[in-house]
Amino acid sequence: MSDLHKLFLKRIKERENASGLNTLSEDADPGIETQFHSENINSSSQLNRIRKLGDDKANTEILEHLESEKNILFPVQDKYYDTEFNISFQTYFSPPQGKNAPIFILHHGAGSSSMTFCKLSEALTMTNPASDKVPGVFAFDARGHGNTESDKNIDYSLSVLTRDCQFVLNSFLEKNVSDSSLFLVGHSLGGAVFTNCLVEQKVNSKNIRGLVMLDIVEETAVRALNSMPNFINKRPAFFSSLQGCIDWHIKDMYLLHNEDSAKLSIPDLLNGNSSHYYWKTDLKETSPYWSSWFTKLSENFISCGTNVAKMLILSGHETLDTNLIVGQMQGKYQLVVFNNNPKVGHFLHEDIPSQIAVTLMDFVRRNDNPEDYMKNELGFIPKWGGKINR
Amino acid sequence: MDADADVPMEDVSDERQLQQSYDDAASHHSYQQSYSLKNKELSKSNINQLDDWIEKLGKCEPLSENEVKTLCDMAIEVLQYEQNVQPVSVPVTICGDVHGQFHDLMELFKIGGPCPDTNYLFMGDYVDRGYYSVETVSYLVCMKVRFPNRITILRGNHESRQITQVYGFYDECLRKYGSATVWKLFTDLFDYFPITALVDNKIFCLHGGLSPMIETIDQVRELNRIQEVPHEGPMCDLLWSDPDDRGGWGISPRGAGFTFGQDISEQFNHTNDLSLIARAHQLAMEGYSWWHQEAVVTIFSAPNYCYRCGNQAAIMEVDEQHARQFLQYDPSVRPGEPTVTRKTPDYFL
Repeated sequence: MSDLHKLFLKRIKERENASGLNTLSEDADPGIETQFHSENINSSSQLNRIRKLGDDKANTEILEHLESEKNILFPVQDKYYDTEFNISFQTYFSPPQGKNAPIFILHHGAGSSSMTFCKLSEALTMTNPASDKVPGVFAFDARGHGNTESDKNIDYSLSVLTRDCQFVLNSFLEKNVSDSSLFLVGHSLGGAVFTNCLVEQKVNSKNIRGLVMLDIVEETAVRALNSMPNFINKRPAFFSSLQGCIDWHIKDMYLLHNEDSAKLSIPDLLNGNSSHYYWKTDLKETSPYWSSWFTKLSENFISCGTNVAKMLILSGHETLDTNLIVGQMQGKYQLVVFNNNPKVGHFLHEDIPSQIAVTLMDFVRRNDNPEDYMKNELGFIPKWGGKINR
Repeated sequence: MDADADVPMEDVSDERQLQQSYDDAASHHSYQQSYSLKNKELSKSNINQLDDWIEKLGKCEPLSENEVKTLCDMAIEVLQYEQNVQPVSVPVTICGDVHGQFHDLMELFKIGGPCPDTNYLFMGDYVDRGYYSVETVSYLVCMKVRFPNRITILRGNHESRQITQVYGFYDECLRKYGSATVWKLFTDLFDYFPITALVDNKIFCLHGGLSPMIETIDQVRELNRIQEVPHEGPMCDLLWSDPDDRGGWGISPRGAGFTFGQDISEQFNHTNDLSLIARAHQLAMEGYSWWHQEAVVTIFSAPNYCYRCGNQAAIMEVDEQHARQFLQYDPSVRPGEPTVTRKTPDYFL
């Protein structure tokens, strides 16, 4: 037995003692020990090989599942090319069906992608196929995210992200001329981008009827700035399998709570193949822009858009800041809180897609056409007091 | 007579006397509803008990769970016989949202004068958001049972099972009592609160506002109010609607109720021979705000709402001649406000 080998055995023994195991007695024949260990090593490398093959199969299955779901959910998948910034935006569109069916426009948050909305889109478009009106869903990957192709050294400031969003929406509206009402639904940073879009009023549509922010409050977000670097450092640089990354989100970090959703949302966050998957979006690169993302968000959310109905959906607890409390207490927007449920986190549209879809559809029903809503949903025409406002 | 099962032993003899006097009274007045009679003539022991509770609550000390149970039983006996449109006479002081800001409620009684010397009409939203919803609602319900003809407490949209689970009352009950029993007792009681009041046939008081399904006050009288606040329909609208600068009806941005314009308010006041609609529900920076050329007034009685909004509070006195006067006030000075600790997530992506 070489000295190195002895050292190796000693270290194993120490580790086993430390963990309360005593399989190797002090007086045991070193030869047996060696044999035992080499077998052990052999079998574990074999195990690794099997696991590796299993991982490859599992990775392929996850990717194939995503591809097939993508194609079912979003029949139209176009790239919108922005010459000014040399960015090719990946877009996903499920066209509305039926006369005047509304379209949901979705914007994901930082570090995420359009695929975060898979299960929500499914719930919005597939749950009631018998209905003569099926809402459309349009989503796109922001610069530096998902399958959008952009140059390096990306500017992630809110004004630039807003510009991107205006470019994509105006391109979409040019290609898909329709009278459909538009309902903007932004998760986290996506909510801030949509709010800023309404402030700047550069989206060429008179049909924006609603703005929904998913789980974002200015004061809370700004307070969380300090702990962000910590969070980013906790992210492993790479994963050896897609399932590993899904498990990290669900089991290690409790960021996601719905594995069906995670299987669809996680793959597009990662590049790589076989046994080395790394993040597409380097969140550290976004840090110089954080301070721009949420400044004045609450004030703008309350005041932006004329005749645009607004809703804020929060997970966990009601954590409104002063502007949002005043706005709520003056009846400026609808607040929905999914609280007292440990299975609902920041990505609530992934965790409870059906409940979010029902909430969104109720919001649309009330605000798309109030007169129809009162007549068809509430079953009455006001007998007095005249007109109904749009 | 099992309503007061939690009354302490020493009261038992009093209870028997009460039973006796009340049987006499019942036969004398041939009342069908002995419960209501019982509370119309509170026994001395009940009065003492209520006065003890009011004194204890006045120091912002919550009642025990058993005491809350007894109190709620007593309150149901009073409130179930009140009307959907509870008649109130002048003079009266009309108040808006309180939202668990107990010390500010004490300030309100200092500014407006102590009850029962001053008659009060509260237009709902006693719980949620502030740190002392339990003490606030216990105090007001105690006052209601003690002085049923001197104080009227209407139902607000926060007096509901669903809303209180989001905005704090439920959590506060769990924190202070270790179980949801007290929350259950109070939210069951809320179902009995009257939903509107009519001051001297001239001022229509309610928490929210008008409903396109309610054209006359008589239509409010026809509603079955003893239920959880529904998601839609006339009862929901009365507790959720807001006045609006736009004319006509509008879908409320709140997600429940409607907005109503000046034309609506004027028509309602004309149809029902009213001089004013008094309501709460919306934060007003000066504590009150006029709407629709003084056809509607909003009254908000929680100063510096949520301990951070920087608003004044107000109450509205209406005297025998129907003259109105607003009394504004700032937050009370109080020792040791609980520090606001808000949970910070470790990411915001």
